[in-house]
Amino acid sequence: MDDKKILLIEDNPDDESLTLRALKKNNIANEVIVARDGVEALDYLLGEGAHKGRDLSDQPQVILLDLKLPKVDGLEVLKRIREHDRTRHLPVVILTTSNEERDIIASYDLGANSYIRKPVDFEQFMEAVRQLGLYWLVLNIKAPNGH
Amino acid sequence: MTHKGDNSSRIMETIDAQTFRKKFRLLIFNAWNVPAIFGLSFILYVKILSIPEMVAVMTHPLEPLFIITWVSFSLWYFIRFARPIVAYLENPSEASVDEAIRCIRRFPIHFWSLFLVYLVMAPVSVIWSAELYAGFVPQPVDWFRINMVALIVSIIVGLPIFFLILDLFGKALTGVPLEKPHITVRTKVFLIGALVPLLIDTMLVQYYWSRTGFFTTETFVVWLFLELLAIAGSLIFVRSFGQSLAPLQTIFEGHQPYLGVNLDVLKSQSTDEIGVLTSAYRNVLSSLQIQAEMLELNNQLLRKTGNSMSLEKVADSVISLADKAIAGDKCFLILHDAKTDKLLGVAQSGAGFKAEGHFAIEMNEPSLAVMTFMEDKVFAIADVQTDPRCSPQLRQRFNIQSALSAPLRLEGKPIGVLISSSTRVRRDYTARDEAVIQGLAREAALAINTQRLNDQALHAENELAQSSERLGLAIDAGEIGIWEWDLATDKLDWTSNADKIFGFQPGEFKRTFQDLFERIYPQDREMVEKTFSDSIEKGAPFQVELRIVKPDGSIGWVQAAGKVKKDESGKPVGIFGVVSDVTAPKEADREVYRFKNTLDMTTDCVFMFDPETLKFNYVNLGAINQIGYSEQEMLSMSPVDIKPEYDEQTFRHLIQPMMDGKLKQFQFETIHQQKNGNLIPVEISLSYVQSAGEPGRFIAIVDDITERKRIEEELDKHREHLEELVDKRTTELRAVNKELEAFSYSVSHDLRAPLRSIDGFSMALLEDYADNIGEEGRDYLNRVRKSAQTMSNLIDDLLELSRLTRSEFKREVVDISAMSSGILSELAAQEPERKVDARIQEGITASGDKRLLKVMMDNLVGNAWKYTGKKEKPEIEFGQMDKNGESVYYVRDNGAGFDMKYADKLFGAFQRLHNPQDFPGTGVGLAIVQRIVHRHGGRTWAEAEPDHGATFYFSLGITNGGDNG
Repeated sequence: MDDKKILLIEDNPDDESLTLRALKKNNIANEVIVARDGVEALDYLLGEGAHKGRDLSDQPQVILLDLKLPKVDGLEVLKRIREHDRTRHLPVVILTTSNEERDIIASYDLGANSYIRKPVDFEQFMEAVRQLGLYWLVLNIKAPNGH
Repeated sequence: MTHKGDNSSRIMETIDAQTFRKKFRLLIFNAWNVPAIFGLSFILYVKILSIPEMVAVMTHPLEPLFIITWVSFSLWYFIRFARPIVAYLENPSEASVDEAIRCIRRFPIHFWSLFLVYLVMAPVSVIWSAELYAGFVPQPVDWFRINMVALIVSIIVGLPIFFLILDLFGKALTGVPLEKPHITVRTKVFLIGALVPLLIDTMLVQYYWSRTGFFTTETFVVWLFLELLAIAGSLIFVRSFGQSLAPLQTIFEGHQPYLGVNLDVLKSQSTDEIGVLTSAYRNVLSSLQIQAEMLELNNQLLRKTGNSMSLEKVADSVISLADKAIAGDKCFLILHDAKTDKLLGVAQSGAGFKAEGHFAIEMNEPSLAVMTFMEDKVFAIADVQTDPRCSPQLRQRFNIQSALSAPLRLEGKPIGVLISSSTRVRRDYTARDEAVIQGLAREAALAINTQRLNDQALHAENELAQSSERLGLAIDAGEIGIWEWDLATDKLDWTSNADKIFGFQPGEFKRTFQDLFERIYPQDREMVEKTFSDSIEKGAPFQVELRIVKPDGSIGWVQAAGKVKKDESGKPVGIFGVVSDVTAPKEADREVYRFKNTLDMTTDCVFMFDPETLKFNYVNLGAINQIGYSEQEMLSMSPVDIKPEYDEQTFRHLIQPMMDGKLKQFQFETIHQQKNGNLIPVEISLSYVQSAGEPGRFIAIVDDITERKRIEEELDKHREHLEELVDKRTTELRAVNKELEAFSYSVSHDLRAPLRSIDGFSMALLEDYADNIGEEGRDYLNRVRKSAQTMSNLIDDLLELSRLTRSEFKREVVDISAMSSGILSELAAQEPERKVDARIQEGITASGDKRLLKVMMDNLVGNAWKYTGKKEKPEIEFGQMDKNGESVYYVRDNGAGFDMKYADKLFGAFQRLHNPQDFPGTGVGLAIVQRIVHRHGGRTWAEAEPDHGATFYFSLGITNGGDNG
């Protein structure tokens, strides 16, 4: 499991902290890369900007994407991920506060693999993260690199 | 046989029964006496008996007795025999004449039979008497000679007497038509021509024999030869007569004595008087036949059987008659056409009739027809081919050899020509032919005239019938009554129409002037009386209008016209005339007056103007008031004068479609200028009226629309304002809506995120620093967390509520029973330890938005589930019922219920009737339910009692669902 990275795209530091706590509490020790806005996330994934020269064959096992992001919002990030060959097959799980219908539909339209609403009750949130980790990090088989 | 006067009177002589009986008796008497005297004398003379022997014979009884007996017997016999003839003469009748004729026909056989007996017995009586009383010894030759004498004398003397008797019979039957002769001429000729000379010869031979005693075989042979010659000669005579009489004989044998006989059998073969007579008879018969046929033709015409006898038929008859009568083979009937002054050949043999003519002949052509017509006499032309008087046409076209023509004359004037002609043989026409064609022409002219008269009569009759029918129809259609008043009897006769006019039932009117008078309106009676008496006095016709009182009490107007009738002396005897009902026209007059009056006084403005001059020809009071001119001034003005928007040309252009009949009526708005110069807006309704037989005119009804215009303008202003307002509000509303949407979205994201931090870090504190915080601190942190979660639920519910107003609405049929069961199953799965008695009525459907209905039922069933949580035997029921025709659904539970005095707060958002410790919740559920029900156009309410459960009712309007909450 060690080489399987998680990319968490989250602008709210509280949520970032709570998500990391939930992962830790559930004994998920995979490396978590945190991007605090859409630009940073895309730079990382596509090896641009601050991440220029990064080994692009080393892509995360799953991307946890919030929708409400500064600069480039979550749906735009998702769109870009699906546009690029290198990132097209990466599993993207929308992890967000809203359950607005239009957000759900737009996410799936753009090729999201899953949509999870963050519960307010932290115990429920932990349970959601546990199942998420189990599924995407253990059960799910990633598409081979470069395809 | 007495000679009386001349021959003609003798021929005419007739005989009575008395004379006949006398003469007949005398002749029968002599038929036996005279031969006896002659015979006995001859016997003495040729010395068969001597005088003493004869005296002895005559003085002794045998011979006288024989003679007397014989004569007596025959007299008795024949008188009896001739009784039918006497009976006929005494009393002529059809039956008696038949008897008489039969008797006469039988007579010869009876006569000659007796004669034969007499011939045998008479010689015997003489010889026997001579033997008995004179000692005469008869030699056989004496027997022969005496018998011979008896035979010869009997015939020589008896035959004339027989003829005398026949003549007497002939006289007796004078005037009786006989079918065939009783004795033929041939018989008579034979008897007289052969027998008499023969017998006289025999007598001579006997005389010489007795005188000379010379009778040798040679003498006998010569005698016999001469006798045979005589008989032969006689037979030749008979044959000659036979030839003369043969045509007549044929007629008698055929039992067709006169008319109708085939005239060919009457062609004479003899040159004697009989031959001439036969020819004459034949001509007579032929003429008679022609006359009869022409008579028949004329009869047919005169019988006037409608139109059946056409000129065509007349012409055909004339042609065929002429061909038959004159033995021609081409006959022409030519009529003069007065219009073109030509002769038209309207009919000819073998070509039938042609009214326009087979050929036409100009009056100046050289033609037999023209000649006959102009000179008006008969022409007989034996050789047409060489005669210059005939037209070449007659010669060449018809190849005519001989022709006979006669003019058709009517009242002395020629109307045409009849030509009979022969194409095969040349003919010399006889006087008889000329007479026949003249007769035919005369009859043809008459027939044609009769036919023409018939046509005219028929035409006139038709005309008369038509005009009489028309008159009848006119009287009926006009409902005109005809009446006649007889002054002497006071009888007033009239037709049924008059009954109708006066309202009498048929037969009710007593037909006196008095009876009529009572029907007249009392105030009109004097006038009527005076009119009638004036008319009688002056003899002048009159016409009067008066009122009558009908049986039903109604008053009617009648118009009566009459004329005085006078006798030969000029004295008035009565009045006749007509009467008609004029009630309707009278009332129409009054109606028109009333109508005009109303129109004049009405305040609406009515103008009428002439389509040609455009001048007003009528304006009512309203119109005068509107425009301000006087009526007099108005009538010299036209619509153009008061319509500043139009000149004459544009106005005429405006009204032209109506005059063309394209438009009946139309409305337009314009401006009228009053006399004082003020302008008023008007609406004009213009009609064009054209009644049959009257000049057309325009009728304009004009409304002053000043007030309407003002209101319209104001309304327009308001409308514009309103539209602005609506636009503004709509824009505002849209902005608000948009804002609301953005707000909801941001609430959904941003309002929850801090709650999650509060809860999450409280949890982290509890987990990581539980020992440092202490028991009380932990309790506080748990309260923080609970509040955060409640806040989160509140936000969710609020968002749900706001979403309901924004979501799309789609009506479909939803199975609510199944939906309720599903919801209960979900709830049961979440709390499997609870046992709830659910009673869900099956198959309840509703029309509505499926998603909204699901949210609503989630809330209602969820509430029921929640509020029965503390019951030992929880019951939840779903069903449907009809309430005042409305379909009402309900969800009932036996849970906590509530106090009905708070029922009005029930459906408000965030309104709760229960403690959250007992029953958690945000208080939005029923607000959502109400909003959904309202979006469906229905209503919802509840009935409840604390601790005894609650029932929530809702209906889902069908017609008005879906616009707002």
